[in-house]
Amino acid sequence: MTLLPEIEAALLDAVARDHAARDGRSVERLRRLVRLRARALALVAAMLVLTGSATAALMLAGERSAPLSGVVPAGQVPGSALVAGARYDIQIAPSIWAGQIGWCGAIGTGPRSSPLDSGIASCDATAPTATDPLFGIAPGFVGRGLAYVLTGPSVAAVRIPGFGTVLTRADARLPYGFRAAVFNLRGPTALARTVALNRSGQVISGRSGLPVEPTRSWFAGQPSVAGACSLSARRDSPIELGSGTVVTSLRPARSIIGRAFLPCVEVDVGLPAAGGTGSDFQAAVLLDAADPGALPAPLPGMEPVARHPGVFDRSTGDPAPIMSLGASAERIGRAWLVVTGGRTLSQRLTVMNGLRVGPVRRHPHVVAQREAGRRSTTQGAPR
Amino acid sequence: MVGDLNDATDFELLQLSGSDGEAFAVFYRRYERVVVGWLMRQTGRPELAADLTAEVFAAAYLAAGRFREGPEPAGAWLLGIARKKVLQSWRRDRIEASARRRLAVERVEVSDEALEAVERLAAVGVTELLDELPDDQRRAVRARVVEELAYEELGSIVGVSAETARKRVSRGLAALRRRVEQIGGADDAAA
Repeated sequence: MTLLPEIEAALLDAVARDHAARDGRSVERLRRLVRLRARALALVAAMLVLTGSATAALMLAGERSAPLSGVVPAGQVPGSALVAGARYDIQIAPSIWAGQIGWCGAIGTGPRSSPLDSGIASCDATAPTATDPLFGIAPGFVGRGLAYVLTGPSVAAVRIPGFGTVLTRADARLPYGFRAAVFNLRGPTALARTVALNRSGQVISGRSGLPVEPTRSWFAGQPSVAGACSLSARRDSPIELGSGTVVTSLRPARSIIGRAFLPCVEVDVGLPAAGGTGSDFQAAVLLDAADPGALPAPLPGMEPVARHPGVFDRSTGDPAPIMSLGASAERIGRAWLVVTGGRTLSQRLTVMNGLRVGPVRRHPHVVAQREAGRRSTTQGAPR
Repeated sequence: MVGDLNDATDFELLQLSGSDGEAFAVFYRRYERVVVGWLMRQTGRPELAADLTAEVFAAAYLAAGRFREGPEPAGAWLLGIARKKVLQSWRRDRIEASARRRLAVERVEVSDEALEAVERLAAVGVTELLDELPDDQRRAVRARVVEELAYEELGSIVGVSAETARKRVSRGLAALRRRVEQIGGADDAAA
């Protein structure tokens, strides 16, 4: 018998979600088999067309996706942050974990007409490609309850073994034409084996080919490790740097749909003066994933901060710090300095101002140092 | 399968954790009381010990793939993580939570019954249990886990090779875990 069953359950649930996220990648082997089968079917279909027997494309049928924001349906697991009747809001943000190109998602929740105050995060840090367009699979809590799958623009539906087919939906808050399928899991499913379907009902399959960037880490109190990027504390700043991870060599990831970000270095930051459990921060330097020397794209969901030119913040919803969606950012040369966590914008600004971004090493022509007078008022190129 | 995993070594469990949730569950159950007891002795607060227990095991899961069999026994490795988390929490005056955030561990309320059990465990603190170990093992565990000496340093102090020092730490931690499990079993039976 365990001493802390609640802690054990929460840990094992997080581990299961981590496995599910990684299974989503390893399931590519299965998808290759499916692709072979799809090719065979396509050959048969082509022959039918040639003989004039083909009639029409497959009709796509399935459950309609729930919206990205709404009211939590009944059937949630006791102990989950999600409670039937409460408000929910699904948000995505770029991964800030060094070397892991992709997106993180989270379901924020809270009482109706109140700020979001809790939630379930699911960060598999993958990005969609033409042949592997599923990139965010969030299996609810303990594999049940409100769940979602994020997809590239070509995905009309997802087929979930043990559950059924869910038609995807577009949403203005999802960048680059990404789509989502939101549904309520009522029992065990094989969500990690979810299959993407195009408008004709055909399976989209293949290898993503996304690179896994090599990284090195260090613990708090140890000297940081040299890598492609660096973050350090400015002299006399009120911040403390903790453990961190840095990418040791940069490679372009060109097959991604939309503009993605490569977290080049990530560091835990403390703000001792702020105190309290909710005032831990993570800082990261994000580069353009397709061309680490290029100007990275605007950060989705971030708005300019009044009276702070060049600074952007995720202003809509700041769920529990565990979700890491409360974030502020500033463009430093050809990189984004992103600070997540904390309770307030003011805290994040203090952290941001206490950090120094070093030059990117892979491309000597890229100088990513904070320089006075290079701040911009839009997310476009710095002046 | 669970029976097989219960027979697995710590190294095997950590290696399997990345793909088999039950392996990590067995590892958690194997060391939960040792970690909770140690954290309770360090912090004196059951809520804080529970929070940090989640943080320590989340960090252990994230780092499991980097754990190598020998020279560091898994118990010492785990308590080394616990020590770092406590130090970080004290230094920053807040509960370290970076691994939980990274693994997206949902925040949970720990029941009063569980917190009482944590307090009862602390009444027979893990640190005191060290005194029940043979002298060589007690000194080795203290030097390695509490003082963080390298095996070479430890060996030179007590006049043995680094490999012998490692074995003493390993045996001491295994004995410590068995003793804590005995106490936990008695506690469960009494409850």
